[in-house]
Amino acid sequence: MDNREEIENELKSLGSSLAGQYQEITNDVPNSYFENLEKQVLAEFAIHRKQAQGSFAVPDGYFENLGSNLLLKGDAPQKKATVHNIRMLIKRPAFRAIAASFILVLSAIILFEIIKEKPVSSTEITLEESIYFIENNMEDIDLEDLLISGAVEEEDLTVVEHDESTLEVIEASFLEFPDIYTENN
Amino acid sequence: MQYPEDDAILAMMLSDASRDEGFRVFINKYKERLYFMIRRMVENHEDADDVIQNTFLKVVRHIQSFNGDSNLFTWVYRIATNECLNFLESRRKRGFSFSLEAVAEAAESPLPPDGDSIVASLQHAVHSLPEKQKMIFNLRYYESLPYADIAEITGTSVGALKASYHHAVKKIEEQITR
Repeated sequence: MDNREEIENELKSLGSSLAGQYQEITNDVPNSYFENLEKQVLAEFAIHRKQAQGSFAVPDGYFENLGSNLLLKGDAPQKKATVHNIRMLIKRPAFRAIAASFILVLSAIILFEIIKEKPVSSTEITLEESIYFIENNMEDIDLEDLLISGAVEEEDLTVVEHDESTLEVIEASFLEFPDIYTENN
Repeated sequence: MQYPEDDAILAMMLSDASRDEGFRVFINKYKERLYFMIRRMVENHEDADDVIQNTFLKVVRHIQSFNGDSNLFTWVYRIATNECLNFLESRRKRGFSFSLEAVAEAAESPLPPDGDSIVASLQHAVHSLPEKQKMIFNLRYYESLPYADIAEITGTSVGALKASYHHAVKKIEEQITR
């Protein structure tokens, strides 16, 4: 019994309508793709082989001493390098923009939690006042401290990157709580 | 076309005198089969091309370390499945877990000429499976591999594989008959 027959019998025993429906499916492939694939792979390999045999100059005894040199270095420089990497990351404008967006959303969430805990009258705060509050209190939060303390992970920040504009998110969130919060015009 | 047995190809690849010829024969023997296995996982041609090239390069570069504990075919499939899963993982991290382009391509290209609807529904249902389960389903259903080989390729027990495959069949069945 070949494998196909065995698989068909198994599908039948499972009562699946896939039994007897198997068809060889071959997706469309560009012309001559398979003819050229072998040449491409072997050409890539030839490049790799050349690079591996490359003529980089290495000081005498470098590889012999590499292991002991690494052991002597210890942990301290690694920590230094990690802190340095975090500082470099924080200096990047894109990172700052993402971080600012994240803090804005985080602040809005915290604000909502407070509002949920202690409902306020619709006459107490306006939408404009809340956004003004968030914008003017953002500076009190130090992103570097949050990152170093582990309270915020880098992955948390990248999620925000794909969202709509932060203001739209906040406004949409406000509109979800019409009973607790309504615009006071 | 008739190709030599894997043992003979392996001997060629391990010999300095016949290494390049061995690689050539090996690539020609497996390129189409591996390509379609990879294509079913990554869904579009460009990505499948990247993954199959990486797979072959890994095989060629690491053939000296192949210790013969498994047969050459399962070793190569293991490299290919790992490359697929790593690729899908990195694509998901980049935020392109299921691009519209891939969906459109998947919806159009796999259809047989007569547009058999059950085949189209099957393709869509398979695409919706989690990646590892999709891999197991594809290896069993499309590649017609015995569980023992799939176990070796995926590093999973035969019992767990059967459970996963049967569960995948059930999920697909539900989607098709919905």
